[in-house]
Amino acid sequence: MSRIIELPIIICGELKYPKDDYIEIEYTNAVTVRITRPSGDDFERIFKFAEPLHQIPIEKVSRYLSTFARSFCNPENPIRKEAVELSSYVTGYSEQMLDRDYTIISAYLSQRYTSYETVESELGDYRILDNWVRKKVARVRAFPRGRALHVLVGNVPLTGIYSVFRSILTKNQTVVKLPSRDIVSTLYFMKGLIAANSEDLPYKKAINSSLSAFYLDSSSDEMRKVIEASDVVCAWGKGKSLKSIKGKVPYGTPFLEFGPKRSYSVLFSQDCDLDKAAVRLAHDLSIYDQEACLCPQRLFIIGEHEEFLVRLQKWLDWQAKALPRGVANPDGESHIFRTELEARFRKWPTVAHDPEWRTIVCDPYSVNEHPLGRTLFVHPVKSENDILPFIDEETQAVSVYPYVGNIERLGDLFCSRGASKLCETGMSMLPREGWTHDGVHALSYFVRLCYLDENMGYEYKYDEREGALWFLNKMYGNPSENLEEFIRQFPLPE
Amino acid sequence: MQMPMFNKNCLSDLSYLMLNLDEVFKDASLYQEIQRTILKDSLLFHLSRNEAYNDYYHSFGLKDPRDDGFSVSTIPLLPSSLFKRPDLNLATLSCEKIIKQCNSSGTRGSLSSVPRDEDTLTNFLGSITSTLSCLLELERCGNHKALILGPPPEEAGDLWFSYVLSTMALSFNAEYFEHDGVFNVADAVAAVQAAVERKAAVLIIGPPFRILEMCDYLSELRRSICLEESSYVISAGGWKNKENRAVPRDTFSKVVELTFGLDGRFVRDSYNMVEFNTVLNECASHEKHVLPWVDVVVRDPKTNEALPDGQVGILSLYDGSALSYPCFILSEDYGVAESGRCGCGRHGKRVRVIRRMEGMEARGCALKMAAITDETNSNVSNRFFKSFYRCPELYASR
Repeated sequence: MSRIIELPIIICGELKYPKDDYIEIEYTNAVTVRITRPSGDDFERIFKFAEPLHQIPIEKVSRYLSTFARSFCNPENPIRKEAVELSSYVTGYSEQMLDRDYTIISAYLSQRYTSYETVESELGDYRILDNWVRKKVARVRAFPRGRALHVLVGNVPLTGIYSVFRSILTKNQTVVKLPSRDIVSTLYFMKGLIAANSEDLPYKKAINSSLSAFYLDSSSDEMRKVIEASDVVCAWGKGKSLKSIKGKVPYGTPFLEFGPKRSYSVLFSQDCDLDKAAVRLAHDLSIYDQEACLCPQRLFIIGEHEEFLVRLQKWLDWQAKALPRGVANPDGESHIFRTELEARFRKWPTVAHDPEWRTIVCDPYSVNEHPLGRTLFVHPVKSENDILPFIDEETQAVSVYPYVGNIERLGDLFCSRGASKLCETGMSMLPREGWTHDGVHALSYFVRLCYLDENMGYEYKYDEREGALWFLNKMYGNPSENLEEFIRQFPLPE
Repeated sequence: MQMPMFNKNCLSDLSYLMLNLDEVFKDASLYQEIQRTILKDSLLFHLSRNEAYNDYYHSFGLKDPRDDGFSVSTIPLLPSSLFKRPDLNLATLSCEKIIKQCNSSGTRGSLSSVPRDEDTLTNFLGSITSTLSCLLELERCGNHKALILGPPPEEAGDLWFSYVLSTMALSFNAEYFEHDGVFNVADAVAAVQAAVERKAAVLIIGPPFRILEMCDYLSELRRSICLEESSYVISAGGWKNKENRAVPRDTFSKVVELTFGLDGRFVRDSYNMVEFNTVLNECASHEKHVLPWVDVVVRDPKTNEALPDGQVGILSLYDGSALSYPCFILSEDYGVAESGRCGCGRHGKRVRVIRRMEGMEARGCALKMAAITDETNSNVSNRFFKSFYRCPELYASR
């Protein structure tokens, strides 16, 4: 019998539970979600939002975020507990996997310095969100774009949460189109934000009311209207979905896309402790059951591979006990089964511990599709050059072990061909301060970097009288009349 | 075991069956025995001639099928995706005997390519002609005018669906309405109108989206055309890349019935795919009958366990009519099977197709890995022009 889950939407900080008018989404694992259908009035409220969020200092924004995160760190937080349970039903991920995800993002946001360091690393100076910050002659300030629309995906719950974090941090109105794949996590995160910041403080009320989240059919007229009414669109998803959204974004509206990517791992097996390499790779392979872009899909081994695979299999089992594999939809499971049949037909050495994981040793050129679900194609190769044909603009992370020596050489090799990042194996999902996301610093999309110029007489390090005279002359077209009078109109260095 | 109705003349067993389908459908045990015998013979044929398949078979630790206890459902299946691998040769017969590489439309990315010899193609055509008379009760002498919403034989090429449509010219006085890849709906409607004026019964055969296009065309003109008695509208090939226009079967049928003044019994659907060598047609009760040289086993998508009648699962198809390749296919379609007696009175298994599986790319970041060969780089975005940094080949050729 199908379980029915009723979910609210959030309109300008208010939860609206389903009554008669809801959108029904059926999942293959006997779960049906009924979520409130947003009305025309709801959209009007969103479009009429007019709180001056840019006046809220980052100190308060970061406090708003950390207050929530500290409450969400507690596994007994009722909103978090419900989110874990419901998201597990909807996504098929194990509760342990979701619990891990929520813990990581809560712990990350619970420190106020996270907000400061994120702005510092992406915009240069945390004060830029509150004040005019000197940059050479100019003073620069980052103003929010206004209304930030997030079109999310559900394969990695914390990505939705992180997208919203960026938007709140940059003082934008946040509008979220929830993904059907995980319709719960980001909705409950926003519910948690509002619940944890319910005091009657003007800045909290303003930020709460800036939050909206709902579900819509991507091809609906309402969705088109929401896209057209946004000042920045941040979309995550498959290439086809991104292309469809992109086509609806008006010119002049920044479009930030996080599209489908794939990742690889490289192991120099002769130079390392095989257990250390194996436990790290087992982790990267297991998280989100390999549905995250950052999870390696292929392992290129330079050096002996058989002994390593024995260790890897041990650690994959170990990781599966702590983070059990969830239940993919029937189509996903069938793809895994088909991949195993193909491997058998091709006589590829395969070790499968179904349904948890499988390793398949084969020629990298023979692999056409990847079924995910903790499936690793293992390719023994002679050198890094053999990996290069597989690296392109859709390569996200290349994890390396051991991560020692001249990593910049490997960085030049892989990143110049399209990879976005290199990291130590085991660190794929733990980007640290200063990281770039798919080749960009995303915060800059959420702000307008405005500047104040100085007056004409402002002296900077290059100014000197003769140069200034020369410049004035050139600027005004080499005038031949009234030269002295002309010069007197301008301040010149003594 | 010698079948009571086999080998009564110089025809092959399969040809004989095709001519006597009515008789087989009358007897459940005969149907099952024929099915089992043909598929066992087919398995033995491929095991003895196809080394790769023979190795695959034995990798499961299976016994010789000639031993007692043979069951069709134990025959190892080839996932249909294997036919999309250009580096794999699945043929049972030598390349000299292969006369056609039949290709899929590639609606979902990679093309399937299936090698067929003359006998396999003849058997395929037999599956169509035999069911036209048995299930649709059409005379083979060709009294019906066939209006085909696809290309004529000379334009069909190796594209399987087009080829299948084009073969209707072998059985009927056929007219085609796709030329140079363009479907002319006005011509198709005019041809239907002309046939009706001549009081000729017609068969309108084509993909459902083209049939609907005809209905929409007539609807815009505020017209309907009442077809002559015993006319049929037969959909085939599914919605392909027109999924966004797909409508439920009942809705489709209602629109067709209203537009062409037909009783619902004369609106039929058929099932086939490039890897499958038989067309399954519907009877008047809208049940797709599994022909006796075929078996369909519905399987759990995760465990591959065979599921009982009425349960939804992945369709696995076993087809004894293919000689050029082992036609034991794990399809990408969900469906249900029924084995009891059909409402039309016939015995034997029937199948209802429910939906296609989602492709691997539908989930997470499971990008198609693309065909990475020496000729094509690994970039899957198919952009025509790439910058220096986006094109590994350009980079490497510096």
